[in-house]
Amino acid sequence: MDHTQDLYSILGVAPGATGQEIKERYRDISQRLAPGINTNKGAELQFTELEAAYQILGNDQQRRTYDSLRTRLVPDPQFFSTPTLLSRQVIPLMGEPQVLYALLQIIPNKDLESAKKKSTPLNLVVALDRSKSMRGPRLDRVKVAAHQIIDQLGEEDFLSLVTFSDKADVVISSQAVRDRAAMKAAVNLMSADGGTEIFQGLSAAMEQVVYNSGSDYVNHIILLTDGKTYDDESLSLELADTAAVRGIGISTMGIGDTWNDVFLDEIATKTGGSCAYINSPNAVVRFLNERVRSLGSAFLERLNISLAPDPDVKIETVFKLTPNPSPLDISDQPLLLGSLENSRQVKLLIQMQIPSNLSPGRRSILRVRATGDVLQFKRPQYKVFADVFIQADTNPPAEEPPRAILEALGKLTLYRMQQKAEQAIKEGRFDEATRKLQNLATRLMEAGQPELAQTALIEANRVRDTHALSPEGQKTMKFGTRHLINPDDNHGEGDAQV
Amino acid sequence: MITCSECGTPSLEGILYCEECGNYLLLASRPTTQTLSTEQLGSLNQHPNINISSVNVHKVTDDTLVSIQFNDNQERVNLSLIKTDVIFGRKDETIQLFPDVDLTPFGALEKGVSRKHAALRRKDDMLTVIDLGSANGTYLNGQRLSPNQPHVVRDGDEVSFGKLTTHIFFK
Repeated sequence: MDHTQDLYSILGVAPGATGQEIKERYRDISQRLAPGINTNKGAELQFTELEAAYQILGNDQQRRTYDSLRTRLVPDPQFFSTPTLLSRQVIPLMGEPQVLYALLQIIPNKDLESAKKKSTPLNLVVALDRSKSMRGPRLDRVKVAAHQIIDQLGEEDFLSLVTFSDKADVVISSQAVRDRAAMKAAVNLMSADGGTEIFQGLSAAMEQVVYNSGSDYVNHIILLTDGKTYDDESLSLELADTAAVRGIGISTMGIGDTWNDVFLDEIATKTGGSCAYINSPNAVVRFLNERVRSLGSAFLERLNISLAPDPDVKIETVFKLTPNPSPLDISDQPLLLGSLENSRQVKLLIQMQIPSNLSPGRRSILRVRATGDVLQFKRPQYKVFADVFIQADTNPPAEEPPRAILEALGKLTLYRMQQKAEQAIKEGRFDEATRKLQNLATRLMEAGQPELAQTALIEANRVRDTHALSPEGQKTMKFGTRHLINPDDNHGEGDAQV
Repeated sequence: MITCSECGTPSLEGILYCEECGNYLLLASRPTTQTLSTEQLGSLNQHPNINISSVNVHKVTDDTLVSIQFNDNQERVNLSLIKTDVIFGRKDETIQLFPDVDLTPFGALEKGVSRKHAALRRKDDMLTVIDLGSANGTYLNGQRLSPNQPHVVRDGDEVSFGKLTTHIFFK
């Protein structure tokens, strides 16, 4: 029996709860999550966990054993909280379904006494594309960035450098950062030639990261490329799945216009990493430094969330607002979110559909489980559960949605409009795509973004005339609108567009 | 269904921005935006700002009459907010405890109202409710409040002391 896990929090009861209270809580929650009733992936995960907890807490003998084992443990402080904001707290009863937004925030507890200044040990592998197209300023800046990373890290950190073109080379094998001069010398020897085989680079990087991987570390790969891979993208995606299971995050960075943004995005999303668009060689140094800095400030790593809506509620989309705004794949749970930094929050915007003909009164709509390894306190798999409730009424008073939700949604809508335009082009509906891009340009002007608006308008005209987007325009709009969602996102010196 | 005032696309209730054209859906009327041509973009210096009207449902002034309505009977009781805190609870003569608003006549004992249950406090132009560590909790629109933390109360909000439900109104 693993007595280090707090089973009482899974049921949402106090440790002194009576057997009857435990039984009733179990019944309430299992009615919402049971597989026969709730087909949601998140519900499935939470149900299994609930069952396992009740097996012990619902049995007098087992519970006694569990309780006595736990008396020797120091109780956990609350490491983070998960307050949720709703677009409406009281929703009207209707004969048709309606949409409700929830802004889920994950906030580290500032009151904790921790060695906050001390950074978290990193086990980092940087995988660099050294194909022919990287020759010149791109490779030069990459070398400068690599030097700076070597300077940023310390003896408690592990670093490895892997390069790839047609095949992969281990330039620095995973080791503690001690002999900086030797590491930098190895970096200087890099030269650019050959094609691009990302899977080769990713495989070599995985070997290196696994070598020194530890549960007290942030285990992470940063992959930087400027082109499309010749080899099979699905191999890399499978490798990303393996990395995710092992708690290894992969962040991707694409330089220039010819890399596959959907592919690199997917690798990052699968593993809780971030995907960045670097549109000039100078920005490489900034982006890489910022990524490493951010990884080193992790308070909690391997943050994952599972969302279990009540059986009659549907989750339509989930979008991560900060850090590194990106869409999440709700069909793949738990959602991997990477690290929670000391001084930042993770925020998700969840769009749900509430069914028609609700009963009046208070009811639950969603159960959230957030798990992470609290590195600075050596507390793995710390879990927090939260239930979200709403009140349904015949004629509720007019309610203005919270400002935080309005602002986030306003910006998110711009990103979605851009995505819809791309989709329309794929499906051959060029007039529609042109119209959507023109609308986007107008909204971007309203949002105080004249340069991005101009790009949108130029691309709108291009689609009208040539039925295609320019690769640069497409990436600028996609990542530009994403960046608007969280402009405070630190890219080193502020703005991503150089 | 809400119909977008600009492009006419229908959206489900609760959607805040039209997914087709990006228009903010909760405003009844809004200055129409025009699509800009490339020439116009060049000469444009001012950017129109998004104007979201705020519905003033929570501002309280000296003239505002705040009343509380108990669900069981429709009568409203006016509250005087001259004092900083108005304490709601169940009177207990044995210990000489008299809350500002005694909830005994409204079924406080059966409905789990504590002697010092909650307070309404006026802070600048806002009315807030604070749970005073009651046994059965204070609920604002169904959400249980953490003790000793003020929460903004808006016109028409439902405030429950234990199981005793009330509505607060401004006039």
